[in-house]
Order: sequence, then C-alpha cells, then structure tokens
Amino acid sequence: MLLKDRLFNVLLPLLYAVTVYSLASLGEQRLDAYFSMLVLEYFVLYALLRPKRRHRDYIALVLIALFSVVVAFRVLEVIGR
Amino acid sequence: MPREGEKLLAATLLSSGLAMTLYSYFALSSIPLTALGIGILVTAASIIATYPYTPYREAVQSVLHSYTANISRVLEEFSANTPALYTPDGFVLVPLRARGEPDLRRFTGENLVHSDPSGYYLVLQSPVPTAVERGADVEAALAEVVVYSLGLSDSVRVVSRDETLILELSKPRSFREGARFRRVLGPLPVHVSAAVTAAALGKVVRVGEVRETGKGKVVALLEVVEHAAQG
Repeated sequence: MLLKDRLFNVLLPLLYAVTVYSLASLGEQRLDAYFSMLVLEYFVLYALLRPKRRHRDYIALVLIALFSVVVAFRVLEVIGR
Repeated sequence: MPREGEKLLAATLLSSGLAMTLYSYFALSSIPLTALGIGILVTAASIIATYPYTPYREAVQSVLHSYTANISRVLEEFSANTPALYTPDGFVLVPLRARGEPDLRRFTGENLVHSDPSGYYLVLQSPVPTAVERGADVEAALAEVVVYSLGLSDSVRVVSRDETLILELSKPRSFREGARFRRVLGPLPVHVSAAVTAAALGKVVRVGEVRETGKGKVVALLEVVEHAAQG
C-alpha cells in the first residue's frame, strides 16, 4: 500500500473513535446520528486521500445506500408526525 | 506490514466488529458501542478493499534500473543531445541529426534508426507497461501507470494549458540517470509520464523544462508537438 492508503486506514478508525466518544459524551442515543457521521467522515477522508481500491469502491456504494435508507425513514417519521 | 499481517488484521477487525455490533445492539442495547462496532466493520472493509502492495515492485525497480543504464549507453554511443519525441503508439524518437519535426506517416518503428527529410532519429520503445487507451483521462492514466503500476512517484497532478501540460510528480524515485539521459529523455518518472501522456492524448509529445521544486516535487512541462505529421 502507498503511504496515503495506509494513512486512510489509520485515520478512519481514529476519526470514528473520536466521533463515537464525542457523541456518546453528549448523550446521543440515535443510531442514525452516529451512522450519518460515520458515513460523512468516510467520504470526506476519501475525498482528501483518494485511496486506491482493488475494484470499484463498493464500501461507498453500501454506505450511501444505507444512508439513503436512514434518511428516508427519518423523513417518513417527520412527515408522519 | 506484510500482506499476511494485513489480511489477519482485516479478518480480526471484521469478526470483532461484527460481534461487537450485534452484541452491543441486541444484548447490551448500547447505541455508542453499536456505532463503534459499525465503525470497526467499515475499517475492516476498507483494509480489505485497499489496493495491495505488489510483490513484484522490487523486480520492476530492478528492471527499470537496467533499462535506464542500457538506454544511457545507447544515447552515449549515438551522442544524442536533443530532447526526444514521444509518439502515441509507444515509440520514442531521439533526434540524432535532425532539424524540424519528423514525418510520422512513413514511420513504421521496425528499424533502430528512422530517416526522413528532417533527419535521423534513434527509435526506442517506451516503457509503458499497460495499454493506455487513446482518449483516456491523462491524469488518471498517469496515476495508474506511474504511481500504482511502476511506483515511480507518490502522486501525480496534471494541469493543461493550451498545447502544454504541466506535470507535477510528488516524491519521484531517483534512478541515478546520467546527464545525457536526463537531457534527452528527462528523469525516468518524467520519461514514462511523457510516454503515457502521448498515448492518452493520441499526439506527439516532447519533454520541455524539468524543475525540482522544494518538498520533493518535480515539475515538468510536456509540449504537444503540432508539426509532427502523423500516420
């Protein structure tokens, strides 16, 4: 792996740990809030470091799909109130 | 880290992330720990999906060293002094006694020396290992060949301006090319980049000025040669 690829794989879990710790300290109990932050951090870090993938970035596809589902449920919840 | 170590780490993270996610959500009902488990799963997936270190990198470097040494000897023998031309079909034309631009309509690439009304050119095969499609994005093609396939630099950026491309290579590898090699073909990373650029653009390219800036970057100007008639 190139240095930037390794850097991505090191910074990603560090960011995740900091985020989870911060949100937990604030008393956040909604899983979709945590998940949204994790997805956002993945894409921001990917845009900055552009790690090389073996094939297409299927992780991004899965994360965006799950994020869409989470947002859809949240929107339905708001509409349903 | 050796590849086996990376695989083991990824497998460990995957299994522990999955266990942590499921246990935290269903047994502990802890949202933060569930989120942490999801984060571990994403990290494991990222490690698995990352392009692996090629085991042939050292062999490629060794071959490139030999290539550089052999070409340097040939250039020395022919007393080549003028910057070479890179053709879209993977040839490098080193002007020996030439004025103006070659007429590539009669160029076949079968002989060591090509002659046409503009003069004589030494014909070399460029070291572009993978097929670069004509019309491909230049920066993407350069990243694929120069950065990932051959490991000649850490990253590459290209800025186009009219018929000139400004190429920026970050931390290019040094192959201790001789002065004549550098004068005619440019440093090896620039030499390969010029060959890839010519193939991607479908045009004849020449290496212009090459400058080493601070912080381990090399900036090179690649000029598109308008007047070389092509077949």
